[in-house]
Amino acid sequence: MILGAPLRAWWQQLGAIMLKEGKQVVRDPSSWIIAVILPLTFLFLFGYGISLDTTVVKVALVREDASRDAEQLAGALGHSRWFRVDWYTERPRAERALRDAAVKAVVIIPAEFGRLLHATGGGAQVQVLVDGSEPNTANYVRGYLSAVWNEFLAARASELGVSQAPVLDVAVRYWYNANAISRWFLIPGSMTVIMTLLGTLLTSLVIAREYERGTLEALYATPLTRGQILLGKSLPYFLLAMISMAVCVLTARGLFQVPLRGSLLTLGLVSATFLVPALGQGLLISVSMRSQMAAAQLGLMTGYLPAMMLSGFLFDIHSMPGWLQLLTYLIPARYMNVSLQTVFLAGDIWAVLLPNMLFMLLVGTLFFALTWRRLHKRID
Amino acid sequence: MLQRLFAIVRKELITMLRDPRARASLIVPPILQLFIFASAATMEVKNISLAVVDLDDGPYAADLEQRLAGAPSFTALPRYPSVQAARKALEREQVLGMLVLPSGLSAQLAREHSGVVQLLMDGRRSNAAQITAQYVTAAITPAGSASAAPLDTAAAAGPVPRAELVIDNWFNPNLEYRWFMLPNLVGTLSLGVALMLTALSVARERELGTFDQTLVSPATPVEIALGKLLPSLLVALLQTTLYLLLVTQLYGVPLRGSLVIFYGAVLAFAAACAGVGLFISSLVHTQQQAFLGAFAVLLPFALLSGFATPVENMPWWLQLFTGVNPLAHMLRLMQGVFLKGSAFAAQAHELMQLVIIALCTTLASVVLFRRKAR
Amino acid sequence: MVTAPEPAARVQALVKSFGATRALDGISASLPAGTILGLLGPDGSGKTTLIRLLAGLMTPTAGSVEVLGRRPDAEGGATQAEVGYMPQRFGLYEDLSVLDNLSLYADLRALPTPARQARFAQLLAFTGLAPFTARLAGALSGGMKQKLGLACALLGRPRLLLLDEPGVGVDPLSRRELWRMVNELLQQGVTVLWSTAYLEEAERCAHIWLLDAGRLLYAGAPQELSQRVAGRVFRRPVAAGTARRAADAELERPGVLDAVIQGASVRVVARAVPVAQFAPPAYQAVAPRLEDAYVELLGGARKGASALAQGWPSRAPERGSVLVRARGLTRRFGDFTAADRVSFEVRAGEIYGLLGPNGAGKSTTFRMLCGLLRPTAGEASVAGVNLLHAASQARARLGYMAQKFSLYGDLSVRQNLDYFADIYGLRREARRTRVNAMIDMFDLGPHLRDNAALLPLGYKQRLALACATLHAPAVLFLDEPTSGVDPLMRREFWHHIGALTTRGVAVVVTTHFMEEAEYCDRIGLIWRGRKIAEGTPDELKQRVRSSAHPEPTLEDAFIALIGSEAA
Repeated sequence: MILGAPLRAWWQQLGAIMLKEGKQVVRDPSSWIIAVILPLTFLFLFGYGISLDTTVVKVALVREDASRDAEQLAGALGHSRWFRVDWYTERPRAERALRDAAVKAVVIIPAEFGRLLHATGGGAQVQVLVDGSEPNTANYVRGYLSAVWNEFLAARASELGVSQAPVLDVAVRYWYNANAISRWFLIPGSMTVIMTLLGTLLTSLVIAREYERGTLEALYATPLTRGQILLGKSLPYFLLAMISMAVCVLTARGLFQVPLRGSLLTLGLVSATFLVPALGQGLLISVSMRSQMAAAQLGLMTGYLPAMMLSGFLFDIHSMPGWLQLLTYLIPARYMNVSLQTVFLAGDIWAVLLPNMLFMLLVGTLFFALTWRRLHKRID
Repeated sequence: MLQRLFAIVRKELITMLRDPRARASLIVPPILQLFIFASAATMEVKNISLAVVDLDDGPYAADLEQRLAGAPSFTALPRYPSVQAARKALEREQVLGMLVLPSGLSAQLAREHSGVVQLLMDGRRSNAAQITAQYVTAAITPAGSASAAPLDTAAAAGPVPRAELVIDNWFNPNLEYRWFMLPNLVGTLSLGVALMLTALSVARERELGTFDQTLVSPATPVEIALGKLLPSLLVALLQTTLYLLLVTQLYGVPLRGSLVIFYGAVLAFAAACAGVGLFISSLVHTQQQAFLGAFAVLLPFALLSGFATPVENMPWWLQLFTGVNPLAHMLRLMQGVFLKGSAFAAQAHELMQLVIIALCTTLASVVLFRRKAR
Repeated sequence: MVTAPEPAARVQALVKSFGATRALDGISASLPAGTILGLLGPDGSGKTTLIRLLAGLMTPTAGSVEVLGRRPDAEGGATQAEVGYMPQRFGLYEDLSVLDNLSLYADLRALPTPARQARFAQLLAFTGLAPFTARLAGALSGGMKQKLGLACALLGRPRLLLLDEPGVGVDPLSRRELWRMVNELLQQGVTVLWSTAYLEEAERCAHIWLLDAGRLLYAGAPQELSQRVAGRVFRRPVAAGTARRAADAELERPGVLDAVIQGASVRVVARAVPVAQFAPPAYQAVAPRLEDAYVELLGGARKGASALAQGWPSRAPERGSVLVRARGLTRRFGDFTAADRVSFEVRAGEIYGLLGPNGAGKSTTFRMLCGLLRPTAGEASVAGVNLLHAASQARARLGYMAQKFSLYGDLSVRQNLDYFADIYGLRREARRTRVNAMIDMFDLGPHLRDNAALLPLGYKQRLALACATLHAPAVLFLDEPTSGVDPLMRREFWHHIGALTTRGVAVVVTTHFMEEAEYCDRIGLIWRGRKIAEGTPDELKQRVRSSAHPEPTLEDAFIALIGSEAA
């Protein structure tokens, strides 16, 4: 009983502050926007708007040769599932279309193509102009065109009954994502961004808001301890973020058919672990800033932007320069991104998950320790 | 009229530039962002490590390794004795994929003049994996002279059709990803600044009560709106000039179009963004709402502009949105002016669209300022 | 009554600095237990800092603080458990209900559940909030918020209660209620510290500490301070409608330190004791008040004719013409009616006071008049024009000073003046002369290059008045221009405002200071969005005069009129 009474008081105080935060979250429209509308918009945009899968490319075809070979090549292009062919009769017009971005490439089958193809001296050429201003698309176009070209040559060769030089083909298979659907890795990645927004941006406001509204001093003037304040402020947002995560997972499974190959339990564990650094970062920002505006801006700059750009979600970390790769080790979203992609697409591979979770906890502990130091229950 | 407009513009500029920290915040973060994003935002894949599993034990493994090692993107080609072992490495993200030479490959090649190697990639990083697969395919089966990639030219026998596929990359001969990304960043980074700056400055004045002070003065809503727009334009001009210098001088991206078009595009774009910002601010009461509102439009603007992925990849109903997205127009303008050297006539359409967006949003906010009633 | 020997709080050579500024500059005093202490001083004098130090929310830069025998800033909450603190804005969560707020603070103070219901019932009855437990705290009136704040501070049965300006913005009725509650607490042995900018509130405390610019000017009983001017305070009854001029004339006399309007007479404080010139029957000696002593302590009221009025470009509108007209002005926000059919007229050369507590609808009415808010019904016109649709020329005839400081804080004083001169279209010569005149008459010279946000409150208000009058408007709207400023600055303000009427300016002013309303020619009493009475100050007092109340103050009149309204 001697121990019981203070302990009960401790829990009572903690419960009160949690309940208060919870009620405020429920009543504040802006937290609903961040917790529900924003995640869904995000998933939606990434699910539909962002696609790295080049589907059908428009190319201009200028055929200056009337031979059967030219016809066959044109036919091969036209039948390819990668291209939609616009026919042009004059080069300058086709080139203008390329300049105006109406087509991504111009294929020119010059006069004499058919004759030169079978000439002993060779010298037949097909000219291709690719729009290089989007290098990614340009690479795809080059790849697809080469494939069509190789097929065409092989077909001509076998038609003539000539044996070919040994050809090595590459059969590409994608593990975990057989059709290489970019949505499958973008959606788990965007969940990282969403969780960062919720965990960091929303909590970055909580203490700054009380400071602005003048309730912080009333709270500090009560016998509450630092630990209670930190716990009481983070747990409701932890719950909110977990609920939001559940909504995201349902949407990802139901609407976008992203597979979940790991277990739900692991997914929950990973998410919970990520929230430690995310909430810690938000609270650290919140105790350091005196206005919600400043806190939100800092939250965006240090939470959201890195989660977008440096987490490996849109851009591969391994391809970044060394100094930038080092910087990413400080970004919790980096660990979350790898973990989520693994749990969703590969399964419960603990060899990947454990080290990442450990790092998340480390970064999180750092943030909470700093917050603890800055939160001295004083307002000067 | 002009006296009042200048007074408002001067006041805005003083507010923005009065203290050194505010001045620095207009210059330093944008430049830092340009540096970081230019390094981070790349769809080129580098530093690839690819496992090689040679089950064939013939001469080809060494040959293929050599071809891959010649390509700049591959930094490590560790050998693994079995697919299982390589798969373990792949699972742990130690390698991005594996190249498997099946047993009997040499024999098959000798017999049938064709064979297949398997490339197994990590689909979790499907984008990097796809691009790497292209690299590998291109290294192993280059399209080009003669027939498809003879492994051993001496073995080519008989009169095969001889032809060449000559591929030219226009605008960006080496397909440098930075040439694409940096002009895009010029647009994207100035979007946020122009939009946020305007949206927040009005909301801030509302919160502080200074907006009322100006509304009861003889200043007209048009003057107030222009007074808010012009400083944002000036800031955008300043920042894009900095970007222009960095992008062309430091990163070596060519500027093939005229400077007049460049600055025309910047002005029209900044006006459109500031107009959108103004419009948001005419709908909200507090800075927090303005911030959320600006964030809520910035996100789709940036994602659906073609900045990260091509507009053509989106479903048609999302492509419709690009008409009202100033950034989509701006990116096309920037590609035109930097890489393509497009003439004014080719760009006039995009410029007009930006001007229309600027006019509509500004007019709408003037009307809303006039209504005033909350 | 026996005073406990141990003081409830004690500060010793206390210094608190924020950067280069010293908010508190070496204060030593002790707070006797079981009594009420008034912490008095103008805005920015260090009152709030001192209270926060006592509540353990700040650590002293130098010196020591002791509360109930302990250092208040030690963690562990031993002191916090025995101290109740109500911050300036009451510390309520406005998005939570009354009961939520109470439960929260009860839990935070670890009140055991069985005791809680009884304590809630007690406090709800005590504060009269019982019918409103489900209402959101943000939807309460100022007076109710303050009571709730007090209830929350009282939950843990504190031995020391710290109240930071509980009387600001609260209507007189609620203020009286609050005093009743505090007196009850005093009887239970609680020590109360009450900070205020109002001298009449401080006068009711057992002890006062008077702070100015971080220094303790006086500590002791208020009556003792008042005695400094004993025998030097007089009252001269004057004819109705001439009080303002009479007070100005009195102040110009060499032997006079201070002269203010008090009811239908002028209250005069003499500079020194030979007071032959204030002989009866024209003058009657009266008992000194704290305010008289306060003004003396700070050097007396400012003399001289209003430079603002003297430099006024003469284009006086015809005296007596109606310049401001409100007809049935109504404004609803959702189902809440902020202003309900408010009508009045203001003529050239007249000061019209809108009087009422915060949240009564004064500012809403004001904003509708200025064209900042669209009325739900009714019509407002200024100089014959409806400002909501007016051309910009019409707005040039109006000057507006908002309730809270609303100049550009990150612009310097000079830049603010230049900005408003340009916005109001002042050209070359006129621009230069007017701006320079403003700098001279409001003593802004030393602050010209300072950011407006960093000015002391008094200078902020001066600058705001300067910016609102640069263009010599025909109509001046002043929304609580003297809120929070000290009595000396208040005198200066009213001096200018009064003088402007001689130039034919029509002034509409809001205030919740009852004594300030005496300066107005006519008053409209606003209560819950409606104008419940209108008339000259004398007329209003006349309406409630009775044998029990032979000489009612405006505050008495207000309370009586509200009472009859409620009945």
